[in-house]
Amino acid sequence: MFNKNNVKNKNNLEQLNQEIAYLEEEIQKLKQQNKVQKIRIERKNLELQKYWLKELGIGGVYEKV
Amino acid sequence: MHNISNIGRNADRKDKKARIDISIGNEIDDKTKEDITDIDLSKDIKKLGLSGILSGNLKRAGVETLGELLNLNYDDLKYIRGIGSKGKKDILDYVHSLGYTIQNEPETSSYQERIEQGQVLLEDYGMPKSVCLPLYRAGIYTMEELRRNPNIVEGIKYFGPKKKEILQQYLDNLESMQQKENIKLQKRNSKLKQENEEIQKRIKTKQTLLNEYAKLLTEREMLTEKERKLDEKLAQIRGEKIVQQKQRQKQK
Repeated sequence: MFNKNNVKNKNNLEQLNQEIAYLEEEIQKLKQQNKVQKIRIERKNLELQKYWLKELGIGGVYEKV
Repeated sequence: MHNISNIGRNADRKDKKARIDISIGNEIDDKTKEDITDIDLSKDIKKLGLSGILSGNLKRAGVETLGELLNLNYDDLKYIRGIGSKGKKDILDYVHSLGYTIQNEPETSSYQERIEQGQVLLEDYGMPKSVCLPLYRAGIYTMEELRRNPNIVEGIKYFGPKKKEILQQYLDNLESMQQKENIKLQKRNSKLKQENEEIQKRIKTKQTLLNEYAKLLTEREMLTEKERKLDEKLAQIRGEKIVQQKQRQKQK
């Protein structure tokens, strides 16, 4: 027998699955972007440290990393 | 005001079968009489705002005034030619709008309303539509209503011996059918329960993911801000470096 509840549940489940899949994808993207950004920041920090070391006369020649 | 004893005097003789016997004066109790006197009972049926066809059919059946309409029995409506479920509904709606009800009026008047109320109809027992529809037309929608009026089948149009036999078979096998239905329902319910649990799990997962997404977004904003500050500092340093280089070149 046709049951509206079954169809409704099925639709809900499908919709939820789609939403979860989309969220997981977006989270992976964000994680990757954040990882790249962290590495970039680390490099820039190093560049800055080298500059200050050179200014204080401790480090070697200032060079861009 | 309206003279109640005159109600029904002009019945159309051409339509004798459809004519309703209305002997109103004696049947209305005193209370009803008092209530009804507030409305113009002598108002012509054609001037009530009902559709032309509907009022024409009523008039042909001998219902010529509002008073006669208000004193109809719901069962009488079945025997008026040309009045189907929609006509009945229109009449009931009109009567209800005046604040009255018709005698023997069913609690719910339409198939759709029953479905909306979630009632178990005859067709839900697997009964063929050819058997169900005449019963629905007669106002019998559920098994309980059928049990209450077991003899109603005799008076229904287009309900011949074959249909009666089918109906009888269904009634005889009702207990076993109900048991089967119960088993089916139990299975369906357990399936629905499982699906609901699954949905709840997914909702929780979604909520967790949403929280994680929000955290990552905040982290990204912080990192972007941090990078921007670093960029500013580096730009300043690089600018100084260029100025120093230019000064050295000049000294040389």
